[in-house]
Amino acid sequence: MTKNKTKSGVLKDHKKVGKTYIPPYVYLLGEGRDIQWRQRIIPEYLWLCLLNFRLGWAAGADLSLSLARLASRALGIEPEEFEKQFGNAPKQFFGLTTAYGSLDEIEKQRTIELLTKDGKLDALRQSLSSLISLYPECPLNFIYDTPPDVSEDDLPVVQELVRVMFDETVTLTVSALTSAVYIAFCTNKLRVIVGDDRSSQTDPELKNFREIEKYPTTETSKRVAQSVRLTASMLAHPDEELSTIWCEYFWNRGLEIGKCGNPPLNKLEID
Amino acid sequence: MERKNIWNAIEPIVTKYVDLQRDELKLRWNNWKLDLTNREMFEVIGSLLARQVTLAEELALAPGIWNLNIAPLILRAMIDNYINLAWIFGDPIDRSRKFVLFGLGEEKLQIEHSAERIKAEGGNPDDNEILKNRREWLDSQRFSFLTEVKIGSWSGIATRKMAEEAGCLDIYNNDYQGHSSASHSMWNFVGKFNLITCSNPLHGFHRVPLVYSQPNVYLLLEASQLVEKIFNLFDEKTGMKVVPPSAHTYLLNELNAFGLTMKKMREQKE
Repeated sequence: MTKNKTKSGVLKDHKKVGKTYIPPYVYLLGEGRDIQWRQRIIPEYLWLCLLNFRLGWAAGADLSLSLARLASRALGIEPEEFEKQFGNAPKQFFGLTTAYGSLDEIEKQRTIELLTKDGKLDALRQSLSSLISLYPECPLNFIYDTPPDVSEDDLPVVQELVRVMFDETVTLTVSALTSAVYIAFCTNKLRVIVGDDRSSQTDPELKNFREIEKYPTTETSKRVAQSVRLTASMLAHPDEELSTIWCEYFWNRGLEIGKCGNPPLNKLEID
Repeated sequence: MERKNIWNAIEPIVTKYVDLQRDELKLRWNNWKLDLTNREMFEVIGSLLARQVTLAEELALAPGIWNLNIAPLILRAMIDNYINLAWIFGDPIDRSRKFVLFGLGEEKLQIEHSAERIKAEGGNPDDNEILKNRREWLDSQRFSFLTEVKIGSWSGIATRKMAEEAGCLDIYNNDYQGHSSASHSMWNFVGKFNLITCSNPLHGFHRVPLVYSQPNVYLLLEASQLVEKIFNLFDEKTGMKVVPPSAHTYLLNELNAFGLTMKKMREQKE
């Protein structure tokens, strides 16, 4: 294969390999993997967005963390592990919807018992009903004895939240991703090295994690939000097979429960 | 103002432009000293000029295709035509001959394919009037049995290389390439013009087919500019001194004036 620079100024930073101009990033680092917000991140974190929308940021984050920790406990991770600096962590990352699909029937039952005991089950059921009524095969459906009925506001609410999640700068989206990172911290799935001058792969902005409460009013909170987005994206690579099943179901179910929206230029579009 | 009314208003402008453009071609042709010892060169150059005028004229007289769906197909053909002529002017006698011989080979091949199809359908190609006429056209220039059929580009090099050699790489990079996306219905065209985003977020903002047409008068001006460009090339390469009034300039001025009138009318309405 020939490797030449282009003669003109156009694409001059690219490498020519055969008839292909390869961008420097790809040439140096390889193709990499796309992080697909649309395909994966939205279905995985929508439940966190819904909780924060229904209960507010703080209460929503608290309830989602409770579920994550109790599911971990159902797997045999004792609560005190989460108090230790290097405590045990569950295999799954319970910030993701998919993670709950990996629980077996006994673990699910145990999670429900623990939720009941902590008095969290009803709040969780009420807050997530819009999601589960529209998407009855959601991995979080186990918290209900029978799928909740669809109410009038379920579809508009879920539609709006999904619309919001397409914009990663909106506060509600940031809040959902923050909840995900918070769960990762609090279930020992993520640690940040603080006060260490050695070069580290850990994002230094995450040490200011608490500042995110002020998003988007301070510059630090905006920088933390950037780190949160990146970290939440990286955490969204769980069990590929389970995640694919849920995400594919989510988007295809969307086609079943609502028609295509009328585009603004639909003068002659095909039905 | 509705589309039909706009056309009614500018039809006299367009009609005069078409007449002026024909006059431009006629005047140039009449003032070009012919030399029948190089007949092919004159025929090739004359035909390419006429082709350019024809394409622009057809576009001008069909306001229904002044849009990004159809006009680029014509504009790309016009740019192709321009690059061909620009390259031919680099060695007009030899390259004109090459152009003719390649075209005759193409014709021979197409005749053979048509004859095969007629045979396959149970007919006799010798009885087919159209084929007969095509063979006569071919044989009147070069006997079919002497005509070679070449595969590939007529010049033996890619269009880009032709443009580079002819000193018009800019038109290739900026105009030809852009219109090629439309002509070949490439993703960077159909993805923009034949899809529209569904507004239901639960569908992940996927895109759905769209048949849409938006009139754009600048496409007409682009065509007239390409005719002017090929005339300028001709004038430069042949040393043509007689330069008739520019049809493109007329069209540009008149459409600008029309646009200003429309703007004033709109403002008065508001």
